[in-house]
Amino acid sequence: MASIKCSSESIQFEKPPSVLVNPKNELHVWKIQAIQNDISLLNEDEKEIASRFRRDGDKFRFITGRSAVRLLASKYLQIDPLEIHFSNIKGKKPFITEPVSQLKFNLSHSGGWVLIAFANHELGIDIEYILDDFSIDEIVQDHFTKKEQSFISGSSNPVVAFFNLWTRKEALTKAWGMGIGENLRNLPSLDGMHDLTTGMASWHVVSINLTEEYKAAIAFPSEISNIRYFEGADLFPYQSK
Amino acid sequence: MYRTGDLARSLKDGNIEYHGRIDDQVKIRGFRIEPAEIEFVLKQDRSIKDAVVVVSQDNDSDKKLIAYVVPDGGFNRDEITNYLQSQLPSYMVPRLIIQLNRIPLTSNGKVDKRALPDPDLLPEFGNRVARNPETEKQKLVASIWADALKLKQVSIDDNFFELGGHSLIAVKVMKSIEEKTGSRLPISALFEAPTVEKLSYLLEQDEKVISWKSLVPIKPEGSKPPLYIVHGSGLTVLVFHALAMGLDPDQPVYGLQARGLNGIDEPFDTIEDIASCYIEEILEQNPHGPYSLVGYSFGGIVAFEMAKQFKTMGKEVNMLAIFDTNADNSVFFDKKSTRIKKKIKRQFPKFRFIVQSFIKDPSSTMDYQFKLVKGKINNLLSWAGIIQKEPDEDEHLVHADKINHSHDIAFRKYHMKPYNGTIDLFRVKNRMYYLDDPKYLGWKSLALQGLNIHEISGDHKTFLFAPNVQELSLLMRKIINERNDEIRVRKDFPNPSSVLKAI
Repeated sequence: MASIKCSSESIQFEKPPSVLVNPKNELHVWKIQAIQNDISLLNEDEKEIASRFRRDGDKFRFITGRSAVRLLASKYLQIDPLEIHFSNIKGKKPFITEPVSQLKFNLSHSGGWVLIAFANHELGIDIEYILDDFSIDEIVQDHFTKKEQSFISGSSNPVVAFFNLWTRKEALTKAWGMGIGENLRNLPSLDGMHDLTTGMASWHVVSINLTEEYKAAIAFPSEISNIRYFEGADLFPYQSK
Repeated sequence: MYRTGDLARSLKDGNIEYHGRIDDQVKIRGFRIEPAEIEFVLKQDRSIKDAVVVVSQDNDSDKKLIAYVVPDGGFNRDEITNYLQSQLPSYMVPRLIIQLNRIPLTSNGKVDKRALPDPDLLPEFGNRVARNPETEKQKLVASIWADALKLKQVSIDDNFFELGGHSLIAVKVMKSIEEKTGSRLPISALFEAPTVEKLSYLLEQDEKVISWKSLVPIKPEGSKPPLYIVHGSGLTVLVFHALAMGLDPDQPVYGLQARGLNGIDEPFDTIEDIASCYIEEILEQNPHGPYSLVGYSFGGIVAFEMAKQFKTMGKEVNMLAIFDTNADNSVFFDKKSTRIKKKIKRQFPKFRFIVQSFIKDPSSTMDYQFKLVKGKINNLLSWAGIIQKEPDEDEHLVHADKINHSHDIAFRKYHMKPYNGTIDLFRVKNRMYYLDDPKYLGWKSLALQGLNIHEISGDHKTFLFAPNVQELSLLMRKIINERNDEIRVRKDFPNPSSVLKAI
């Protein structure tokens, strides 16, 4: 029977290999600090988007995310970064439209980090900076099941527990290309196996540790047999002026 | 990597040194930054008399550097930025450089940070003039946004996502709006209406729509017999706008949205009740007819019943068009299917098919999801079987779910009996899920005066949207004209049987 398995893993980021390939059934997660970027990798439309953010943080995260996706995808696909085209459907996750390939990606950013996952399968990733004073009550009531609600309220730190479960639901939402905030209640997020009513493929949702200030989760189909975590610190060479 | 109390830090790929007191350190996007270091560099510039660098925290996770400088002579922001960039790594270059005549000091001679001007309030930092909210709705939405996004000021043409909005904030914002206005908009409405101005407009429209109950004027202008389109499981009629705009300019179009969307009216749980409720509202607006009916997906069943009721009342039905509805609900009357019945409890049958197509062709089903319509109250409750095996029985269903649940019951217990008329079945070319009767979708035996099948491009959702909707609009124009003409012909040349009856 098809199921969704939710769990947490303690992971370590490794130095990436110099040549990138994306083998079948392997998933790569990249961690990049939202301060590193290369704006020359953005096309004119993207530069225009970047210029419109009110806050620097949002601008940096956008530029870092876009330039890193282009750079990494160009390495996986062995093509010039600016020859990569993305879909642009409002409210839906972007995907690579050109060149045509099996390569799928998903990106998430929050606070100081950008996480990007690549695989040959649909996948979703979410990172959230834990906002200590975020009022969770209404969202929990509306979008979490009773069991999840009691898990959160029974936790030593409910806000942290909330962000843990939220990132899992959000990762699944993104993996399945659903609109934000839709049916969050029905997406399982508690540790363990959740049987599905129908014979859909099985999925895994894995929370990974970053720093104490963040929660992050990845959702991917069970065909994925190996996940590698890459440190993206050297992705953009530091250029001193 | 970083020794506590020591202000020097080295990076793998270049040395950066920080100087200053440790208690002034700030961490911005993961980098420890020493404002005094930046002040020091600024003061080295001969064009600057004095400088203070502060960190503005406008969001919990977002801090930014602001430099206040007292120029010695002329003030040139770009030159200062260039100079700083030549001296410091880019993340240490303040994004905002503000000119002051003097640095405000406290009585004991320290920099009075609270007296420094707030850059958000300085007109020179807005690229355009802020447009303040005017209407009650705009004021409300702007204040909810400002609160959730931790901003002091939101212009009515600011874009939610450009202000730093993301999914968690979106969920929160829409909840606050619902609480304060009673209007429940889907979260995805923020993508369609991402500014205060547009979202407020949508909220105002929503109130109008609610006052109309089920009947919604989509494009009420025109002199032709009006077209009435019945909602699908999305419950609202927003999805029919593109079609309505593509029809003859003289063609009025009305939509019928589900009862109960306002969260007050109880939804009906029989097809007969749903149909008669819609008819009642149509009769108020157009008591004499004739009526052209369209039903999309679940709405096809309702439109079918409406056509029958209209006929029973002696009203003329010009056209009954069915948009890709599978009429076969026999699974619910088949005792052998008890097991399936249990499985698809609460689920509208079409979701079962989507799940089946998932197994066959996962990538195209995913694709399908990307194209799913936004901007409607979207019940994908059972999409892809995403119901946990044992949903807590006591959980309340949110009202869109509740309505679909009632409709699900209604569909299951509805006995389809033949209709004494013709049916125009619009069938999508791209079938993403399995059907028992892919050719007639179960309608063949139900249309006593003939079933016309029209193939249309797209799948069950995308045929209503660009680029497919153009083809659909053209075809609909043609069919509507043909059916209207047929009625005219019949009126001009009464058929022998009615002549006989008249005698």
